[in-house]
Amino acid sequence: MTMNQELDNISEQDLNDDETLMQYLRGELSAEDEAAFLQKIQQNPDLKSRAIAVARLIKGIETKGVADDEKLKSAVKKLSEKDVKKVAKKSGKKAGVWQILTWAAAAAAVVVLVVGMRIYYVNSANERLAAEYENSFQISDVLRGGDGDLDAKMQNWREDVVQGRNLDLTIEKLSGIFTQSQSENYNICTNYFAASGWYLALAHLKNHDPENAKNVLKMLVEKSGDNPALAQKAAEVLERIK
Amino acid sequence: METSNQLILSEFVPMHKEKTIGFLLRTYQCLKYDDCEDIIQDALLVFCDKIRQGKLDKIKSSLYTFFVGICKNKAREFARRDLKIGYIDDDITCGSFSQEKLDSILNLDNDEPEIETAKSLAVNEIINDLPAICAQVFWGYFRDGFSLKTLAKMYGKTESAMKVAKFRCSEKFKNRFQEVFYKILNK
Repeated sequence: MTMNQELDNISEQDLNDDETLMQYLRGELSAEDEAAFLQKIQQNPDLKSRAIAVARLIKGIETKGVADDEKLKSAVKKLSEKDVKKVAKKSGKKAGVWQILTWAAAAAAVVVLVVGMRIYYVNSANERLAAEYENSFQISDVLRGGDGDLDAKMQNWREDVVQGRNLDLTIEKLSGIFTQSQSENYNICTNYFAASGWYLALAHLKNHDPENAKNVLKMLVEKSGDNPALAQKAAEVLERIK
Repeated sequence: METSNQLILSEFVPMHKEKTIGFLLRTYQCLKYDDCEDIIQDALLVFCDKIRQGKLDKIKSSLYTFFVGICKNKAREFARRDLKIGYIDDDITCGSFSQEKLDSILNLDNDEPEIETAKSLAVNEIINDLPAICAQVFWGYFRDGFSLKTLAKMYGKTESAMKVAKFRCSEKFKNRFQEVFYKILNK
């Protein structure tokens, strides 16, 4: 039988003997019961060893307990009333559920506000950046001539970007042109690489999408070998995007 | 920054707070958790005041038992406001152990001084490293003198569960004592 199995086999007699031992140690037994108990201890080795162990335990705990209490008394006697009040206050109420929820809601509101303000700041900064660069080039500088119809559309899309309107649709259109313009095969969009790319990047900035703006600007930097002014401006904007 | 003396006092409340509240809530059923926290805070001030005045220099009970007594008085004041509350069974202790009786048992196992020292060391080693439930029972029953009924209220158990726990822990202590004692003796 393992120790745990032995311990699980606690009989009513065991518990009664334990109770009698406690009564004996407190001096609560009559003389007759005391004598009977002491005789039982002598005849029962298990009960005897448990009684001895418990007596040692009680003495040991008492000794340590007294020492701990003396330490506490000594510490408290050295404290001022003000110190004691400080400790007592700290030991006071923990927050109730509603208080915790209120604090959590307030903390969440602060986080949302801070994050919101950060997003607002970043978006506003990028919008201002786009506005700053929207007149960097005359449209004629970036249009390299081509389809008259597409020229007119580019002018309109440029205007949309400058005005900050219909940005999603404008981005879609400009993206198409920009992608086509990079095809290896010459096509009607080829000459619109600079214009579509430039205003696409600015449109992304105004549409609060700095990542896509950066991607477009990187391509402008890489592929504007024949237009160093554009490459330089694109690099400049890339540097300043938040 | 807290001084070391403040730290010692600061440890007292968290060590005993939850079981004190457990006892108060289960004994004075008109109290709420917040009321118990208030009682403990007020009781701590009274308790420290008495220590600083030297009134606890010669008490026989443990300091914690005295502290619970203060909490009881404050709880009774609360309870008196609720006229529907009748008799409150708030006896907490079950008497102290007689040194004479303890010695009579220890004399059944007297040894030479060196061996007795090894036995004391073994006891100290074990009581500094008790499993949680045994620490609750031993300190509460053997040092603070609380009845098993009081301990049951403190820890939210039944009285018979505490009785069984006390017996089991005593048996474990007995077995562990043998191991540690022989280990110390053979060093």
